[in-house]
Amino acid sequence: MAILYCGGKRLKRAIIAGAESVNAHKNYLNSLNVFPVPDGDTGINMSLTLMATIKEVEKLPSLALKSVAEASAWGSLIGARGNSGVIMAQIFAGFAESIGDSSRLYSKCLARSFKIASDKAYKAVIDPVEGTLLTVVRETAESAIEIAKEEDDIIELLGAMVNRAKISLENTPKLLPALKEAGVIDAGGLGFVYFLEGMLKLIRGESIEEEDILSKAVLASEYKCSWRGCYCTECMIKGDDIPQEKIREKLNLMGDSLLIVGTDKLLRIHIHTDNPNAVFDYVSTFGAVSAKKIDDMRRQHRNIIDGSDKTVSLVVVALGDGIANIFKSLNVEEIVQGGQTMNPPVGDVLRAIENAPGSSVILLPNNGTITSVAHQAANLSSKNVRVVDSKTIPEGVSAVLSFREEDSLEKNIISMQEAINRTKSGEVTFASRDTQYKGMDIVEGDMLGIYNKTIQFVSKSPEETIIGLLERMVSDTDEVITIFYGKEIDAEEIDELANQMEKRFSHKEVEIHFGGQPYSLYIVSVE
Amino acid sequence: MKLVVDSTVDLPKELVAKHNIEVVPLTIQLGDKTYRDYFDIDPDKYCQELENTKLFPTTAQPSPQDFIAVYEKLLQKKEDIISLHISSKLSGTYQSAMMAKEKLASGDICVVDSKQTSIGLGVIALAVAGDIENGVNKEDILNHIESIISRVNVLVAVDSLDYLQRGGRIGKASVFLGSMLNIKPILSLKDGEIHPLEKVRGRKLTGRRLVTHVQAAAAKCKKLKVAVVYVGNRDIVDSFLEQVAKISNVYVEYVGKAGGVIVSHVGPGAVGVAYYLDK
Repeated sequence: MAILYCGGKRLKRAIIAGAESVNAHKNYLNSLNVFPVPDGDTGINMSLTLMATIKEVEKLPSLALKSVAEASAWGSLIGARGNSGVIMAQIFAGFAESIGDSSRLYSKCLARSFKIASDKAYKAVIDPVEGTLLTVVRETAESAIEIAKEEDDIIELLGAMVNRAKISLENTPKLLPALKEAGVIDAGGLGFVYFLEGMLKLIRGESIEEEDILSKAVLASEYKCSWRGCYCTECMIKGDDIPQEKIREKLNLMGDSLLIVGTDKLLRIHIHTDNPNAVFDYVSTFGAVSAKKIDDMRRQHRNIIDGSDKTVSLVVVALGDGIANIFKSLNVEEIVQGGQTMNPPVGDVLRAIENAPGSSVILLPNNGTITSVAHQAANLSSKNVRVVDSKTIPEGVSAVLSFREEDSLEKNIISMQEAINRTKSGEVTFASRDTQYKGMDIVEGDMLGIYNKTIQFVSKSPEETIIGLLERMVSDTDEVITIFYGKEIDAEEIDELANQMEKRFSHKEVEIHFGGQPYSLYIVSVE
Repeated sequence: MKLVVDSTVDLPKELVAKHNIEVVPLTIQLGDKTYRDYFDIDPDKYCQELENTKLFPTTAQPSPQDFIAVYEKLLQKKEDIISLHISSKLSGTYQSAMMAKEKLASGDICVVDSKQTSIGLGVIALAVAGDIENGVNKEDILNHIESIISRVNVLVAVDSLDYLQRGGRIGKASVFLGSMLNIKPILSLKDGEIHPLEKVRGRKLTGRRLVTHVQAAAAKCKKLKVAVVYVGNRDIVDSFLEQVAKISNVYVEYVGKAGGVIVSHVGPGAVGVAYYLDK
């Protein structure tokens, strides 16, 4: 029997089924390393993101299509971990946006929604790389558009999409040399295939039920396009049984560009209005109002030009007690626990931003895999948040050192970026499995000295590796070498290393600090 | 006309003698020893003594009487006086000089707050001495002083913030305190006070950053005058001078040693650089 459309109830069940399918395969996804460096957290990141997603969807009282889609977007956004998680969150967000006020998704709309979701995911990634989850999503969405032209049955459409996704996935090693070298397919892409398969199974096994539950959400008054309000107003409401639809109806009369996301317990509101306080007064009758923000949109422009905002806080993402203490000693206000293989959820980063005292925040992700989570949190925050894209702990330390309280936000961002550019970062870690790399035979447990994303030196001893790595990193014009040692390193090893450094780099200034980070035995900075 | 300065001017002896400048010393108290800055102990000796003691020095402004003695001597010779001093926000020296002027109640004495000290005060004093030798009138000299005060940039690279903090002159640079990393702060002296400028990792990078600041200023003008003061840490000064010599429009006026009073507040190993565009 054919299924001609998908309503809110079916979408809800499909999302749950998809998430559970990914969750069931998370360990296998983790095992698909694309590099000898153990970055195998794709499965756990995707799974945690999707679990947060279904948590929001499950507690939703409404079964309206729009509400389900919005709850999934909100849940995935708050729970997003890692790059794959953020991309999934973007897919849900794009999907939710594309649905608008429709109560049913027919085959062509469904395909179109996938396409919009895919476009949004591409936009969210600053430097999209082909051969990853992004490629699989895009190619699947593109073929869905073609298939839906002829196919009205959603079961058939989804089935064809799963097949296309698998073909796309098998092709990923051809597009991304790192995958080919490691002899694997992209883990994120496979996660997406599992997700689609979960949805398909659910839809196939479902007996057909008419879903005529048209909640009021779907009938919410239409979006106004005129720009009436000149204050961009935002807040959050915490309470029990917040009547989202009632608030939506009322606020729609008070301004425009209204955005309401969240649940009956927590709601985030964004509206352009001439009377922000009236908005706050109204919503405060339903719960505790927090994260209030009023921006005079006419003034916003001027502020950006003269940089008159003076209260700037620093927020960093870092792992390891020692490194956290060093950041604290440099006047960093909030430290989010997270790093390689332990990507923080967007919610944690958001909380740190909101907790920081400044009305503006400079956010340093300190790891390439956290960049997109950082941007997500920055977008969600009611504060003026700027992400300075530090990819390593040393880059973050240099950036924080160049920060000057009395300078404008813009000036600081420029000098922090300059500081990042003149810092070289390296690390010593161990190989998670046997592999070959540029003609080197690497055995599981080998110490890898990595600089510029390339393995520079391999040996059995961490100390030998760090000296070998530094000899390849340090040039004549460099002056300062800073070593942060991880929690696996003991005092004797450090004494020995200090002796060695004295011998090999006597003409440089060498500092050795306890970093306490897991996973990287040593993190080094050269400037 | 005669120029009177206080000992925080940190000008080399030869320049003081050449330009016939009167120097009134501040005093240093180290344990039970009292030194008149420069008069009783030279910069290198004092620096050594400071490095080898656990005692912490204090400094004292000259008394109004010290100024009266100098002013009276000059007034008897029918000299007009320009008395140029360390920022009144950093020391009571200016206050003492003003009191001396009021007590004397006669003669032409002009007491000026340089809003600077050490190398910043030094370059202004040198310009004034030149004006006096060229017969420039008093009003123009005072305008010249104001003009240089507004143009001069003074950077101070210190080994640690301990001395500034314990001596109570750290000002807004206190934001640099407490770092777990080995940071060599670069401070600036502006409007008579110490401001934080930059946190630099390690001594060797300090010299390079100082050069970068001079370079940036030189790129914006036709001719840049530079002067350096230091005590200990000659290596940074050497590499700084070597780099700066490569910039075609930079002219190094002099390299001086920081006297006991300044060292008591910035600590051994500090380097000061003043630069201003020459009109």
